[in-house]
Amino acid sequence: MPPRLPLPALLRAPSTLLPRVRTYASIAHAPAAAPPIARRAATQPESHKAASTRKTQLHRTYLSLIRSSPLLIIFQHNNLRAVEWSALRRELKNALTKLDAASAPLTTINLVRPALFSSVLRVAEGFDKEHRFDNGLAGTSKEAYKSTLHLKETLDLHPLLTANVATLSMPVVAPAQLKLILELMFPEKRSKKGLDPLALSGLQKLVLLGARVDGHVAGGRIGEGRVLDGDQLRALSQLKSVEEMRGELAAILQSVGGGELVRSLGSVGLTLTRTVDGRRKMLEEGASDGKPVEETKAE
Amino acid sequence: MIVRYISNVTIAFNPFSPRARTARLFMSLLPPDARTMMKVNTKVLPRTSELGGSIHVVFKDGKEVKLDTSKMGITDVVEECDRHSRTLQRKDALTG
Repeated sequence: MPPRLPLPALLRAPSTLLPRVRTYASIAHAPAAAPPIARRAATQPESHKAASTRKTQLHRTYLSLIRSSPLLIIFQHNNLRAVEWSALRRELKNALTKLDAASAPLTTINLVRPALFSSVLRVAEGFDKEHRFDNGLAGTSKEAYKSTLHLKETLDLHPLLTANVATLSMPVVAPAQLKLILELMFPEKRSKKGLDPLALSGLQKLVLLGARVDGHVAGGRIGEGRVLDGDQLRALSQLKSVEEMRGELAAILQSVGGGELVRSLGSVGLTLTRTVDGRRKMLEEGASDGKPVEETKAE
Repeated sequence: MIVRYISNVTIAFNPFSPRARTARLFMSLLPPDARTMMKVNTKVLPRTSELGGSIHVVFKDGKEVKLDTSKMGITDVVEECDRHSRTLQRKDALTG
């Protein structure tokens, strides 16, 4: 699967770090002024906090996670043990690989820091939405933070991000995969049969909170996140895939009489052509009289 | 929080309400092996629900504590539950 995101301009053009200048102490003449020490590498985007701090790195990780996943499920986890997490991840990976081996490794569970994630979500929703990198400012910059601060009150997902939060990101909005994930991790009544007992005790401690669907399922545009609650997410999982729906539509059109539709769609153009043609003939007749319309205007 | 004397917990909350925070924090205070010791029910309320969150705790001696946590902090909720747990604990210690 090709990456959804265009590479930012900074990373596309290979830029070099500041050249290392070697100087020796000498009495004869003052050494040439050394170039100022760069605060950050030229390949590193501008950031409000020091680029090497954990918060900045997490910010960048979360931003890329949000931007690169069309479907992000948000859930609460309550004191799972490490073995339970690994059993759960293993079960999920096995089940998804059976369904679609290509997208399975890209479906990941991430435990996030809720407050930081909420702040990143604001940036993703309100700053450089389509990730064009037009103004040369990264999502970690001070400007990004300031310009999206007003979203704190209005963002629907904001109340979800307290206590212990984890996300499950999917590379595609595929109802079949979603259905499998919901049945495995957030069963409504009885959990799936044949699960590892560790995974079973782990998934009892998970609570589905909501989800964020980014972009258009068929068009693939990004930067228009929509929020779903648990019920809507389950409804989404019951749908057919986009390809199936397209196939059904084509079949319906063929059986009902596609010719009729083509004719009625084409009739608009036909009448327009006729009208314009009629007008042209009228003008030509006027011109043969010796008084073309355009010339009288020019005079 | 003392969880030894709790036999049944029901937690309901609306995740899209900022008032659900206390109920959700209460859920995260239950230890990893809580589900082997007691019965834990979690209920996610619909998005339109007015109620932010509520918890219902049943102790081993049958006492029930019902709280609307929409306007409570987590420390208050823990205090409410621990008050009865402590009396049970004392009773336990005296009978040996």
